[in-house]
Amino acid sequence: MRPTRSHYIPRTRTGRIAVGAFLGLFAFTQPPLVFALANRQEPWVLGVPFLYAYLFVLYIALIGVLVWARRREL
Amino acid sequence: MEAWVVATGLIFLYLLATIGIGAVANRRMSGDLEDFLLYGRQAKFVVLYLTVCATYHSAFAFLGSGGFFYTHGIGFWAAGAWTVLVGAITYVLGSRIWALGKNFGYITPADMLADFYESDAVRVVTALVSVVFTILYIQVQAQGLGYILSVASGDRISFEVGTLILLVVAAGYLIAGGLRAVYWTDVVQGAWMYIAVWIGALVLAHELFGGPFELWRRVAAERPDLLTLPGPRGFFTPGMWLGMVIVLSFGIVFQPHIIIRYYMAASARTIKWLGATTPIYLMTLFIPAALVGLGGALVMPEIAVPDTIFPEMLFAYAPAWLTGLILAGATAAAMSTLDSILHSNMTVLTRDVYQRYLAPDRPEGHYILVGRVIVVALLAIGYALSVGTFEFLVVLVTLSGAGALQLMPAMLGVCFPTRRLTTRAGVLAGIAAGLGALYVTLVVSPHPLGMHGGVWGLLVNFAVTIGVSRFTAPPSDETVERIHGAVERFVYEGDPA
Repeated sequence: MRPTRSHYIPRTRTGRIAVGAFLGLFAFTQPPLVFALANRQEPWVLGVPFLYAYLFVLYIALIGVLVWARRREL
Repeated sequence: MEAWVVATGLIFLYLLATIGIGAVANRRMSGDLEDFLLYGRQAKFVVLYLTVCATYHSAFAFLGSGGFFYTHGIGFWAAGAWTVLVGAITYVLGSRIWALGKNFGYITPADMLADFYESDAVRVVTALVSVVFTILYIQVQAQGLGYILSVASGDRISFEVGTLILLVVAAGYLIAGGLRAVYWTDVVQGAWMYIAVWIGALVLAHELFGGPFELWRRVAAERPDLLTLPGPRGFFTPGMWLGMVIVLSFGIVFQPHIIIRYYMAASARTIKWLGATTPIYLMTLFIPAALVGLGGALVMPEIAVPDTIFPEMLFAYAPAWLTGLILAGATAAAMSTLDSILHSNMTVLTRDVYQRYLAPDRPEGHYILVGRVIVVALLAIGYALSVGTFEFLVVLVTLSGAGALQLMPAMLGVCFPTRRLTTRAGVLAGIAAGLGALYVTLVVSPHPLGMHGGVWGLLVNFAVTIGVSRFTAPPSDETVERIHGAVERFVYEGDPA
């Protein structure tokens, strides 16, 4: 059977949450947001400069979204 | 015992281990072509995880990433974004590629595209893009290997001899055991390189600065320009950041050695867990690289070749046994990528060229033999490229990173059904236009408006593919129903393929 609905748009609630959360968080790791919000050393977070810690937290959150999606059998 | 003896001895011990693994893999081979080329599509999670990670991270990640932090500062931490994106692409796109491969018996990227677009021209173009833009990686990895052995031995083993030894070992276990040998050695290499880079960086940070956090404080005090964007030389502009994230995620994933790994997963569950968790390995490998590069900028500020900062620091400040252990890890990083590229190019040339056009309908043993001959030929080409100096290589290496990215519109057209179909003519015109734009924006006038040339090439490719597809004939209804129907069933009806 030939699909009639686009595969670019998630069809389930879990799919919409996962895609929205991933793209939303990912946008914060990219220009212009990363340059506007995080391009500085201060304040230091757990012994590392702010930009480094900011990106690290976002990367972990993004991995968390992927793991969450898998656990929900997406 | 002298440091060079320990370092070289450990590298040779490591090489012996890989040869042993290749020999065991050879005994387990069934003589079946799919077993030789695709590990019988039975790769389970741990093996697939380590082979994908070890293949993705090459000599560049081990040596080059430290050099990037050294030269351009914290901006290289953007690497975390492209490694996370690789995980997401594997999860969403890789699982679809796996399902189609399982359903229709695909072995190479060209198999899938040629089937959907019903075109031999698409097969040939895909095979050419796959081989041309990755064969240069053989040269890059081989040069890295030659350099490592030369440095470890204190120039007692020349660069040329070192390159040859390591190329012969990699090709030897590939010829003996096929992809099974590549997989098993990748497991050892993936684990070794990860442990080595972490131990090396932590030891150096403690020896030189009293720990990683003190290292960060010293960098802030002495080289604050390394801790903000766009870095001391202005490299990490917004356009370059975005471009590198796209090129080094999608661009690497669409290379044949990664697509072939998607095909060989044992199940959909395996490949989706792979996507969800590979960024943990891929991203965290850049944490010690930052310590090496930024710490190196303080203690060795005048080094001639920044990519050599890690081994230079090891020889200057670490014990000999540790230096040997870590350089063996660097060897593992380069070899795990090299063997995978040798294998994927061998697969593409055997399957998409020899079996399809030159000698169809031969026994499977014949194609395995031809595949082995092709590996020897690739080995010779790789060696010649490594030790020679050819001006055109500069151009080709510049192009290679973004070359496979030009397969993206064609791949999406197969794996993501929509009402508007991409067509054979659209895909061919898009790839041609994308490659042309890539040449202009990487070589003639590099990175216009501060945006990475790979992104310009991709934008042109998408525009042309979509535009031409609107006015040309799509694949037949039967093919679209067969392939897009399989994707629909896999994604939304729980078909385990």
